[in-house]
Amino acid sequence: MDKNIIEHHLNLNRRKFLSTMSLGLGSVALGSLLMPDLFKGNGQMEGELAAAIPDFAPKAKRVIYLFQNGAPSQLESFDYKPKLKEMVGQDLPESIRGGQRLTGMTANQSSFPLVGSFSGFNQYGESGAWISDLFPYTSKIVDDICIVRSLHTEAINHDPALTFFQTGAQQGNRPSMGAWLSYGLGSENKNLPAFTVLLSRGIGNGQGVYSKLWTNGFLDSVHQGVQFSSGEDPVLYLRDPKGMSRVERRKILDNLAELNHMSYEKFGDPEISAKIQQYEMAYRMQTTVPDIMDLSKEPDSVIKLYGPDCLVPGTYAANCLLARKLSESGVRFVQLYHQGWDQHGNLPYEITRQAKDVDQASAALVTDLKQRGLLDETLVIWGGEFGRTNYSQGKLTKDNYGRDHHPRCFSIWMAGGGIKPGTVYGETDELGYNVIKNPVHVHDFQATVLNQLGLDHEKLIYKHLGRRFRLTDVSGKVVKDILV
Amino acid sequence: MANLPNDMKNKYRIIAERLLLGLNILLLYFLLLEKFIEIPYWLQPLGRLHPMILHFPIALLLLSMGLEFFRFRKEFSKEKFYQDFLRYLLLFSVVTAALAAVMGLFLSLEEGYDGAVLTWHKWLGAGIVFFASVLYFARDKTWYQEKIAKISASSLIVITLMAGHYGASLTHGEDFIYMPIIAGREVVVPIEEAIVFDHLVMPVLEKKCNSCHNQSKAKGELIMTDKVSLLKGGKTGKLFDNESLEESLMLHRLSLPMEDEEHMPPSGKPQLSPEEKLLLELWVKNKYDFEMKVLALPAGDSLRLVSTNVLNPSGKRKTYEFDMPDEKTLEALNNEYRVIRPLSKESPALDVTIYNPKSYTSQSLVELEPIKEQIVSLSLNRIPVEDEDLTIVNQFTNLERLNLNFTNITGNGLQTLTSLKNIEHLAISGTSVALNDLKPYLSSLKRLQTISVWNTEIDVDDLELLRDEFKNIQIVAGRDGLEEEKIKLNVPILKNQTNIFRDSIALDIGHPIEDVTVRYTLDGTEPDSLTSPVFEKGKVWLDRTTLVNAKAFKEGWFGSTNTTFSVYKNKYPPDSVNLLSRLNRVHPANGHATFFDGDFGGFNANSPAWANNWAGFSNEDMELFLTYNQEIEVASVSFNVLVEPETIIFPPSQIEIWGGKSKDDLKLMGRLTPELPTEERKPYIQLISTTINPTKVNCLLVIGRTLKEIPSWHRNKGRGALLLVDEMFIN
Repeated sequence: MDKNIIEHHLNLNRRKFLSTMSLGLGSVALGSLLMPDLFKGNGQMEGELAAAIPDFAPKAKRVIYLFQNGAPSQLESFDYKPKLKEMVGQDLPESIRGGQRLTGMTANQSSFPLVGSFSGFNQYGESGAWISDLFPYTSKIVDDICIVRSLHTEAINHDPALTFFQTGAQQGNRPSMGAWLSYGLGSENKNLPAFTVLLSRGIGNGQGVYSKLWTNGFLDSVHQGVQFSSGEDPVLYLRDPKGMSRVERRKILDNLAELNHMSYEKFGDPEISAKIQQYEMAYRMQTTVPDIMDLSKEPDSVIKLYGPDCLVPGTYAANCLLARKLSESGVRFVQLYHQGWDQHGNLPYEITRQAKDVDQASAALVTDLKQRGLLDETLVIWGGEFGRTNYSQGKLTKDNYGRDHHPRCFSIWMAGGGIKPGTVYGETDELGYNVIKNPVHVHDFQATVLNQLGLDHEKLIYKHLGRRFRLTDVSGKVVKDILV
Repeated sequence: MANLPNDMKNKYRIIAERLLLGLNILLLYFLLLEKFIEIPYWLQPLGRLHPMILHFPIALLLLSMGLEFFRFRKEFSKEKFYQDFLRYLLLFSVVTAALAAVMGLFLSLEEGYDGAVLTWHKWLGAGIVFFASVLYFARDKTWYQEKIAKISASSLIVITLMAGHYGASLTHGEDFIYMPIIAGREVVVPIEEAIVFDHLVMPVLEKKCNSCHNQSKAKGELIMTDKVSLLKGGKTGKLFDNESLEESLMLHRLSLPMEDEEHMPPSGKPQLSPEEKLLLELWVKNKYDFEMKVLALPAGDSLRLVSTNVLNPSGKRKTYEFDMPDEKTLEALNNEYRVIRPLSKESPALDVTIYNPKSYTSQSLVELEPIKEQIVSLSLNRIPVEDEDLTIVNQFTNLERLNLNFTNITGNGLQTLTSLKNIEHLAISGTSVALNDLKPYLSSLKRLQTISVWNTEIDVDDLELLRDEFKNIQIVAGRDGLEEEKIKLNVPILKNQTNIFRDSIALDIGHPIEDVTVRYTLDGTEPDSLTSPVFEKGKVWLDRTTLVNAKAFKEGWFGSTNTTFSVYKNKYPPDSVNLLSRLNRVHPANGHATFFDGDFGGFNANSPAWANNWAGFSNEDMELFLTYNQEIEVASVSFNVLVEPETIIFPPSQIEIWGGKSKDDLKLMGRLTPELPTEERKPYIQLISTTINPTKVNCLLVIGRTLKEIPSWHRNKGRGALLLVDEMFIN
């Protein structure tokens, strides 16, 4: 190492440098970034410095988060409420609503007629969990998943709720869950980013998904989610300009790196080194990404498993298959968003199609990971940002209704990654409005996800603008009951 | 009190002394008649104050006994304050002690307190009160001298400490103080030896049941300390119901709601944790086997999972006996394609993953020799590892997890992995390992928990055989019968770059799945699987606006549903477009360019395709002026409109086509009154064509009149409608 660099106050002591170098992201820059306060005071790190190594042996190495954007109705999926069918058309009792605020979309409704699920429910698997007929494939893997019916959140509108789920705060600009993981654990495969994002859209009423959801926030930019798109260029700006050979590219990068190293030695700004690393990774991604995006080599059985749509770029099924390939190649956090779950009206028609879009591929992903022996080290999460009301938004007719946003209870499922399979956790009241048993707050959920990856959510801290920030802010409890 | 006049002092003293006597009698009465007393519920809170009040008598008694011990010392015996203070302090302590004792008795009569500890506490507590009362009244007698005072004081101190200790044991549990030390020493049974009843069920019974159901105190005539007594049951009957294990008495009592009288353990007693409850439940449902070993249960069995969890709770760090790896070696071995990471902070165990098949050679494994001891997890997924390479892997004797998916290994290679005794998870999906190789190998692995064999030579029958033979290994394969399963193909897709053409277009229909046959029609009917023409690329040319119907077929799959594509002929794209009217403020789309940009609008109002491609007119009519540098012969003007009655989007009420040589010379050439929807219906897109007598023109004015009054069937009847247009075609 260069003497000047060692002397620079932003850098590390030798031992830490070596260990970070060898074990973590393998870069000077990141090492120093992760330990910005190393030379302050007595070397006590206050637990705020992640060394890109888990705090304890993790159950899961990777996460695939199948985000159902728009908030799928728990009442037509995993929270069976026969009582609602009996009471159809009756007004939601104030005693149940308990002053719950409503969105502007139903606040002025003169009545809140209860409505049960149009689709049937049946019990499946050893656990006997109730699952809606709209999810025939998911019901086949029920013994591999853990359904949590008692999620609740603080936000009542899509964007804040989504942002809350992903970043732990309703306002933007905080690092996303994937960015936190990248920060806390580093990337596995140095030829791919640690955090990738895949988008798809269903037929239903869609809600916006913005890059702020996969932002690195105040963390270093290497932790930002990289969006893979379905077009000709899966990763934007990755391709060499026309007419440039790979040798030329290499030369340019080497020269550029040399210049960057010079300015790094001069200024010691870790962002410069991060930049060098980014260029290098982009160069390596030029060969790894096309390999991963190429779905033509998948055998027929896999195509049948995910459904033929998995070969149509940009579909949810294709993204699930890609997610498996990315995860298998060591991408820590693969974030999918599937839009179109916002059924304010015309719910029976839209949700049937939405469910059809995602059911087979979601279940296939779990099966596919399992048959590769990867499920126990990959945490798969399926769920939206909040639930939907037990009363109809707009006119309730014999075969049509809608449901408004409902933050007090909703269902998600998780599989693999040390989550107890074949379980149903939490309970809502018989009208499906309030959680009555084992509530799980969004921060509890986030704490649990971090825990499965070997990170203590109370220790994964980043100091920014004089404050210590956590994904779970100042709360969150690991839901121990659902862990293996 | 020292300030009070003497008679007043006496008055308070006498009241207190009488109170003390009264409390003594009350206490005696309660003690003797305890069995016949039932505390009214309104008195129960008084009893519950016991744990709070008792701290006063303890502290005060200890203090006053200390003073009593030295009372006869010369320098103190003459000290008036010392003597007076001691007398009142003692009186006050004894009264509070008596009060605390009575309260304590009330509390003990509530449900849930029982056992030897309580008895000791009760009698010691009462003993303190009686002893201290006697002491108080006797301490001024002449026979009460220094020696007696010292003996009494010390004994009372001892008794007070003992009663206090037993009381604390009652509230906190018997081993409360030593718990942190004892807990650390807990003997962990290795999972291989664990027996479900002995090591999992019995500890629960011991902790939560046996304090009431033991030899010396068999509540409900039930003893739960050993197998024989458990099978015998109690007063209410047998614990297990062989007819229906789920309804066994034991489980019934556990599952009753807390408020129920018969709920076990009774309210006030420590309750079963959800995990303990689940454990007992599963054990009973598993035919309450007293000998069953944990590992004899099938892998994935709920009881086995819970048991494993109890024996090796998550979060408890596995400890390894080998040394920390050398940091420099790690640094040297880590590279872009070989990632070596410790399992966790301060753990010597390493996880190694090799990526990128292209850069792999056996050397990649050989180089790991210096850390062969520390590697507990190795992933070689999709790496061209050959059988010979496995001899290197065989040196990593502490491996617990090995991923060989889609490597080039065979069953022979597997046999060389003889030293890997600690393997728990093995993945060989996508390799050519067959049953005959796998079977002997599996028998040699004692700790194996899961193995994935999907996509290998092992077929469904083999699988059944393996699962039968290795009950305690979870053998994972893919979804059964997927190969034979017939599922529906997805629809064909239009691959032409644009679906708008000037003169003619070679239709290009594709399908994401290989070897699919696409059949199509051009006459608006649905194609069938036999007679409709098979699509061949480059052979189908269209020269007019056409609706194409297409379906996909493939052997072993169900045919796709029908899909339609529209291809539009636009022979005369204008040289310039002028929008004469104003677009609706919220539907500006791409302004005048919207109508000939080749981008179509969709249905979903939240999608960018909606906002960018539908140009909207709400108050003003659409007036579009098109000019051509060269004369054209126009025969029809068509445009696409969105119709969505629910959100008052309607077709225009009338279309007028004006044309001429210049803009001052326009003649009305055609007029059309489009059909309006007559009832609420789902949104649809409609192509409206106005045909005119072929006329030579240089410019065209297309007018679409917005619907000024929505028809009477609609809930917004009478209001003006919205007109949305995306593309226009001039032919």
